[in-house]
Amino acid sequence: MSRLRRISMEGDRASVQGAVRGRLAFAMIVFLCLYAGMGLRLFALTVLPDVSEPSVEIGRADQGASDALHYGRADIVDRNGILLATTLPVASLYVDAALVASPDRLTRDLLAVFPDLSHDDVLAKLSSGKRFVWLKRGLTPAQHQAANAIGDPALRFQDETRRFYPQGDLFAHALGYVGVDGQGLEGLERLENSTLGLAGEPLVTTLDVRVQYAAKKALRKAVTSFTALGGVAMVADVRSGEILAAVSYPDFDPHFAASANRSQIFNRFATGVYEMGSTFKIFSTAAYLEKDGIRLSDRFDATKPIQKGRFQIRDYHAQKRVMTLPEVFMHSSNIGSALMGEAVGTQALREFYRNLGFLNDYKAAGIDAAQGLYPDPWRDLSTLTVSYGHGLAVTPVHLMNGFVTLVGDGTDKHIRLRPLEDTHKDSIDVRVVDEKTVDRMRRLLRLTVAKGTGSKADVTGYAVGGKTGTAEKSAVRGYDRSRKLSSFIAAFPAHDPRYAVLVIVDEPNGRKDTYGYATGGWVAAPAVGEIITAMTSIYSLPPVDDAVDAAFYEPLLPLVRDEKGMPYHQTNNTTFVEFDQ
Amino acid sequence: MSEYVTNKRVSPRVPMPIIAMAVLSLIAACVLGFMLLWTGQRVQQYEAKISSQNANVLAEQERIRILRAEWARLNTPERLDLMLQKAEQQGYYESEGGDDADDTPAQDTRRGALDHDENVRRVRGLGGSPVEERE
Repeated sequence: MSRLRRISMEGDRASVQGAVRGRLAFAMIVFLCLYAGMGLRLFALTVLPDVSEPSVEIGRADQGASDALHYGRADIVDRNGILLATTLPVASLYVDAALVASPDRLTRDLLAVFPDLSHDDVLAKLSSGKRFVWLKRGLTPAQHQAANAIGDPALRFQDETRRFYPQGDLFAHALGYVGVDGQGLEGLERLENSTLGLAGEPLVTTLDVRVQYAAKKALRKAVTSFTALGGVAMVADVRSGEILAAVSYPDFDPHFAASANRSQIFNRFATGVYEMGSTFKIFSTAAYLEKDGIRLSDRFDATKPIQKGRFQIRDYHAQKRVMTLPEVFMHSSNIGSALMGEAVGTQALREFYRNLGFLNDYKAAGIDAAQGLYPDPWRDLSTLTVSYGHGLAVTPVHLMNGFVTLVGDGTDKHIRLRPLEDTHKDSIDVRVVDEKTVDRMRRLLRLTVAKGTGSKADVTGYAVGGKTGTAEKSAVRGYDRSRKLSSFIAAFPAHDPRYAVLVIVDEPNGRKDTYGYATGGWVAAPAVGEIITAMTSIYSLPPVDDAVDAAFYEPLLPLVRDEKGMPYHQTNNTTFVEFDQ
Repeated sequence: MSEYVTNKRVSPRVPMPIIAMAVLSLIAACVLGFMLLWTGQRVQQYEAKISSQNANVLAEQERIRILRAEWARLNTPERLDLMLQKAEQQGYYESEGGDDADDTPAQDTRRGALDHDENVRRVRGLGGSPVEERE
């Protein structure tokens, strides 16, 4: 029994010893694992490379997370992908004035880099003791480098972005500009603010840098040489309604829009509302041609002015005779146009102008033009004056859109600054003018340039068709004869127009070489000719055959007989027109 | 002897296969742990490398953006026009009597005269006119 007990006790002791040994082994393994883990971690942290704190560059890359750089506002490009507006990273300089040891010395160093800053202003900022004071925002790379080279620890740089317009003032009014907070304030920048703010693909416009420059160059020459207040030049694709150029002069540097004066900021093509004068005869003539049973040989008595109450309608270049419709058009007879308007009727003329968009404001992709002014109430006398372009005021955008409709295919193309998406193409091709009227108008326009008042716009081989306009500007009472608005609107080639060009010069003054005249034919027509000449080179446009051109408009001229009795169209005078369609 | 036998029977010894398995498991765990750590380190290295490359790409894109703007600025039509006018004023484009159509070297169309290499030499001014050489 005792032996058995002893055996049992020894067995218990062994069991306990085994359990202790096992626990010790377990604890040892656990600690070994812990130490091994710590060792490996130490190895990883100290020996293996590139696992330390991420660098600033890496942090920036991780924040980007996408392939492209996004600066918060998309680029704007022209129809060929030329950059018109972009957003660039810039550095801005501020100072921690609490760290400035010697304000006088630092002011001297800063003024050497930024001579445009005021000494007293900089000194006051550096002496203010404030922890954050802007010194100069939007530094150029050279300024950034020079400021950094000063080496003062109080000077700090803040990364910012800035809207940059590589073309300078060339597209000032079409593109507009942005404010300090990056929000679009004018032009495309304002109208497409939400799209541009998405910072995605560049916003493509219909503008063409080359045509825009050609238009600006011609307009600037016209405005400066006739000492005018300003002007407008526009070019549009007649077939698509895309605006290739839109210039308002004088213009301004969009980088410093705040320092521009009112005349520079004023967008004449979108917000300038003008009585256009004789260029509006295009539309009254078209309205007349839309009537049933109209013949081009219809005659209008322009022998004497029209007297309506206390108002008198007279011709600028009075022919004082009965004229046919082409003669009325090419001699720009106010009397003849008023008679046409009277024949159309007040209701029909107003409806025609409404269909052309003249009585409404104008909104299209990238364009937001002001609403025109029209007679209200619209009396019969208004119909007469509106027929030759007085009493109804529209913006150049309205005029160009109506003209494109009239010389294109008769449908409203809705001129615009953004390409039209395929899905929307059918929605705007609303017919406004009959095709037959379109053809007749093209011939009349070509006749006006070939043999009439618009001859200075003609470009040999390109069959320009257009109409001059010289409107007296309204004064407090009536019209001021000394203040004119001279314009010319044209399409080419006239038999199948591809492009429309408009030039308006505000208050030009006659010159010696123009015999004191400052009319549309002297002022705006040559500018249109220059733009068209430039465009023929830019787009390598093929010339029109002279015979085709002559056959297009000469039938409108009087038919006479030579010595042998053979009939021909008299090209040096117009007294009678046999041609009719 | 009997004590020994009794002790041996009572002792809670762990069977050898289990111990072996435990040791092997421990070794495997260590190896796997090390491999995992190594893989983790490699992944971190590659991620750091990718981030660095992305940072470089972004920096390059930024430079390209600035260069595009600079290029557009340098190629404005107004500037090119001014440069052209300046060049014309300084007579860079004045004729030296060689731009008349009649002065263009005639191409010999006789058999064998249009040998490519000869034409290349002629164009480069290396071999003179093949017409003259034959005559």
